[in-house]
Amino acid sequence: MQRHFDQQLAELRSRLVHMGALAESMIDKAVKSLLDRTSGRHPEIFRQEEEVNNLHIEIDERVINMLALQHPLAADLRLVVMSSKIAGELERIGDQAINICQNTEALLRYPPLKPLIDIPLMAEISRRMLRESLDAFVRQDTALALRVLNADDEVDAFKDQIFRELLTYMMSDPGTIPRALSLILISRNLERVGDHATNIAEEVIYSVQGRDVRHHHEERKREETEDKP
Amino acid sequence: MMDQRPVDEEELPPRPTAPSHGAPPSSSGAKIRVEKLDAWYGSFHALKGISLTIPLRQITAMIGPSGCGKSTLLRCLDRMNDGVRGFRAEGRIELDGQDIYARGFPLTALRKRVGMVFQRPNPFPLSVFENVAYGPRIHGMRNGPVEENVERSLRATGLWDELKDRLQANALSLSAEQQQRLCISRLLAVQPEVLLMDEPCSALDPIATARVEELMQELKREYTIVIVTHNMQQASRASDSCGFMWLGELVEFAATQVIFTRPHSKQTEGYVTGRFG
Repeated sequence: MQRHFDQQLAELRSRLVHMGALAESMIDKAVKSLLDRTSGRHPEIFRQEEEVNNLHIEIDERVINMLALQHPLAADLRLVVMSSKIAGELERIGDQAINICQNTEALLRYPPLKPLIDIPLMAEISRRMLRESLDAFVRQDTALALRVLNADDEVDAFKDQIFRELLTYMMSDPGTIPRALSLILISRNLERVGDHATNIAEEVIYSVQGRDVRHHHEERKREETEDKP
Repeated sequence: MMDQRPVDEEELPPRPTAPSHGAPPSSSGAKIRVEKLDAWYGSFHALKGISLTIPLRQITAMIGPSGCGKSTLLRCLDRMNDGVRGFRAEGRIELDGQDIYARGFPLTALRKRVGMVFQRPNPFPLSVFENVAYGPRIHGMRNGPVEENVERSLRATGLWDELKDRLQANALSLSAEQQQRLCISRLLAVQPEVLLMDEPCSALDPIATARVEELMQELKREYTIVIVTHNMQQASRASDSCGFMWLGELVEFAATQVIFTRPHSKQTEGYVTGRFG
């Protein structure tokens, strides 16, 4: 039976996918600016942030209306509530893109501290996590969502490694502190992007399967081991 | 007799292949245990292998489309179908461990222990007082003066304050909601253990429905309640455990929050989201 509500759900998903594409594009542009040492893309990123913020409000409004007027249940309820949560994650991802821009602008006042090696690798993993978490949402693919969860440890490891390396620069030459701090902040911004992508992946799993995998990493790993032939 | 209109099978997903599961969704004690219950109206197989445990002092809701057997199941719990021509049941229903279908089980005692609230309030055309006093009198109850029992029963449903000065008024002059609460008071007066409610709010407006639902929450402290309802919002608001029935089978029985947020069965999900039924 086709329901009028299905049309509303389809629109909600479509707006969320659009918001996800914008957030992804903002991160891509922010990382490119960092690597190219330019700020030319920043006005476009700021414009996109405004659109993301508006979508955040619009999606929450749609969710409130659906809850109030349609009383969704079971899979519908999970999708509607998780859509609101995912919109919140995407809005914060947009904020991280803005933070990367601001930290990049601080970096651009100085000559390069060092060739960037780990940050581009870390940025690639964070962007992939975001892309895959959004793909998992679009395709309702929980296996892909699980892959995103497992990548989070890699990003965290990069952040720690980048911090340790930059600490040695700062200790040996205090003149490098402003640049090193900006790079540390950028690595933290990228780590947060990974965290939000992880949250999206967890929300996709809950939406599709009704399984809450937050804070249960050990259980998840055990399940995966048991699933292997 | 319940509506037995057939459901259009073409609109429905495939029938469940897994056996109906009726494990108690909570760890509290069992009040009623239904085991492999089959029931027929003539050749119509109305209930198919139903097994479930109704937890003590909880509200258990049964949901499902018209003709799925939920009212038949409810009526089996106090053997109200016994008088229906062509009705036949197999299986076992235990009330506190005793088989209510066993030969020699006292039917009068069963009806006293398990009371039924119907879709439409059905007070006797007597005074408010006589409606409530009627049950204790015919059961020859000697638990204090009748007046005390009437007051206690009317207080339990919140009617005492509204009607204490109109106890001699004809019950049929009350509002539909007051009549329904009076019918519940009438049951409480004989001190039952289980309240069966068959669509108890379908004739009531939303405010009256909310009052009856609040009353159910009060009553479950002392009574085990089983409610059949078409209203899924009511089942989700008011019940602790919930069973979904379809074509005479119990498809799923679980804690209410599970049924309405992450049901295990695709059929349950389809029904509660309004995709079929």
